[in-house]
Amino acid sequence: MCFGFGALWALRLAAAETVFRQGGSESPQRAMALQGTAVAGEFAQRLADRDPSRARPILDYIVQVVNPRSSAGWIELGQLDEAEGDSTGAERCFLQAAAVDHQYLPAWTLANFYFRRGEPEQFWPWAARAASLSADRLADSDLVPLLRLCDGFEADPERLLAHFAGARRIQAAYLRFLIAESRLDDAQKVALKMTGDHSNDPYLIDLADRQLRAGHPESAVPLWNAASGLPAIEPARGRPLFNGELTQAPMNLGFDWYVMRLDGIEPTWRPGELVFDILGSQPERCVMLEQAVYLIPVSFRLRFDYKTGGSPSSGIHWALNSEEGPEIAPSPDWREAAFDLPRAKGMSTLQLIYRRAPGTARIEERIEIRRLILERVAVPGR
Amino acid sequence: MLLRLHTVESTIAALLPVILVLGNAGVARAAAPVIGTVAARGSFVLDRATVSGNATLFEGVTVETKIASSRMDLASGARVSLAAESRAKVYGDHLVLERGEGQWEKAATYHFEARGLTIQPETGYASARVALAGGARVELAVLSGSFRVLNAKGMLVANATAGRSLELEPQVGDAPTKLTGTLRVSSGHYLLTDETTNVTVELTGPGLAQDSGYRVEVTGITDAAGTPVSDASHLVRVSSVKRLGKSRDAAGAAAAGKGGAAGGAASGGAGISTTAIAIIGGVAAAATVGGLAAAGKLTGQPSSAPISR
Repeated sequence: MCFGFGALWALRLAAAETVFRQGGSESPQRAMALQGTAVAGEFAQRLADRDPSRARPILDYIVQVVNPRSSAGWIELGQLDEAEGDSTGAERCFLQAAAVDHQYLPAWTLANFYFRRGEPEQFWPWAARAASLSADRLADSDLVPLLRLCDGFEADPERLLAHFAGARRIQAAYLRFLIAESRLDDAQKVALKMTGDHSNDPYLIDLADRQLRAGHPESAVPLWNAASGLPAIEPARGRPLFNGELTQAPMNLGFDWYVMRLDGIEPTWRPGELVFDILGSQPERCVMLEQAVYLIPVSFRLRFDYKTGGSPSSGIHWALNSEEGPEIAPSPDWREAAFDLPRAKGMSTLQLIYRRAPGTARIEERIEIRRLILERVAVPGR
Repeated sequence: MLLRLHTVESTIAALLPVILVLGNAGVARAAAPVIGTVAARGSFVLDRATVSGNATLFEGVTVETKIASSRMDLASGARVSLAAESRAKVYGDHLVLERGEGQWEKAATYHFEARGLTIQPETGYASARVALAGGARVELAVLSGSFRVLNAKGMLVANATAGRSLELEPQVGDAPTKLTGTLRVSSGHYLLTDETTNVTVELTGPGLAQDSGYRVEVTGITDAAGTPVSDASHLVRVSSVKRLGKSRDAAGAAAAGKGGAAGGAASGGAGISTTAIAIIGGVAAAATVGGLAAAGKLTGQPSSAPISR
């Protein structure tokens, strides 16, 4: 049934095109008579694709006689006018399309037209209308072309969003647009308005990670705390460690733990615990785990629980900014230990490393760690 | 719950698909200049975002068609169509075809790039179709006017006029030059206009005098540093000459002597195989019969079988 209808449609289009191409003053009418109004819009578009100069009379015929409510026909005519430099004619056609069709396409077309004309006063109402009509037909990521137009007229995020009356969907799409454009300062302004909606958390986390990598931890912290879903880090108050209880799998992002991909070491997370199976083929020295921590200039101690296999030497050390602490003593049973961090301030990197001890073979065993707490300590004489 | 951490990373990646997709866009686009408009029956993809109907084109945007073709009206006056299932990066003065097939009209200064080849018009109202075929082949069909094809180093590798169809394929490594045509003498210089590419070269090497006036196939090396006479585009140092006819080809020589533009077409009528393959500037070229020019594939249908040689 569908195939038959499609074939009939194609045959009527082909017949109409043949008649039209034969020319003559009556050809538009004869072509239309062959197909009726149902396929008029598509026929006009095909002609405009192939032969714009000859498409004009039949487009005129369609919108004046056959189907004045053919928004596709009006839009095609407007595009022909614009391509020929007739902006007034183009505007008239596009507005007529919007008058007969209150759906998305005419609004989107007019927003584009006024953008190209450089007329922001006319642009914004149509952009807002296109955005409001896009919800059921465009994925959020497909709002990027509209946002690019908006951004061309208004670079200030708050003023841009004001044109959309705080529409959350536009806000979220605009945040993603700004992140993709690497405009972190603008993205920060938008993101801070969105911290209550957890559907945006992946984007806030992503922005926090980018801010951190860009050397802006003060911008990263509030986003991270709003979206990470775990107790907040408070570097200024001496609480810089994130996910110390290992209650969630390390994200390898932002302020969370980074578990390194290494030959010869297989890491596993389970709630509350990280396990490293060291296979003996690991590098002589390698970082197994690290986290970016923002330190104020006081003394810190890392407390943690761990256990190892039966090797006489673990080769495992904690380090801050590659400055190693003492080797973790082998312990087949859970044991509490501590690492006094070397004095540092600002962004630092806390690392768990393996280094083969001189005179020993590379170890083959399992290291487990849990309950990591980084706390301020008063150290006499420091 | 146990979780291998390599799997955790994959999970996080899956949580952020839009970020990753958009993140690849990278550079700021807001300041990119407007270069024209694009329209299609239905939807198409603009820098990875699906768009309905029409849109504004910015410098460097990637346009990707789905089941329908699209047309672009550029500020330069050129009109470009992309067939269904095609993709191109579009600039104000050129288009880089990345997949499928494109056609441009009123080309003027607008040119196409495809697989390292530059296809540029010689006349303002030239039009042509270009398609990416299997392997590394590029198909060119000139509909009106004339076009020049340059290799990645800017060296002329083909001239094509209305009605001509060529298949072009950049070669890997230093492919020797191989040309076919009538060897003629002009002011003491040996010239040959290749029947496939319509490119005229000056030949140097021993023993050329005895083949003058004959239709020959020459193999050699293009001397990029050498300066040819004004009628020729390249200087070719010949390593071998193969005479293809038993008598001097007066008609062919005359045609070539008039500038060579008619060489390919005239030769076809004189029994030259359309399977003749030329290699020049590291690009192999073969004339095709019908091909894109006759296929009329820019009708919203995806490209079908490759053109046979």
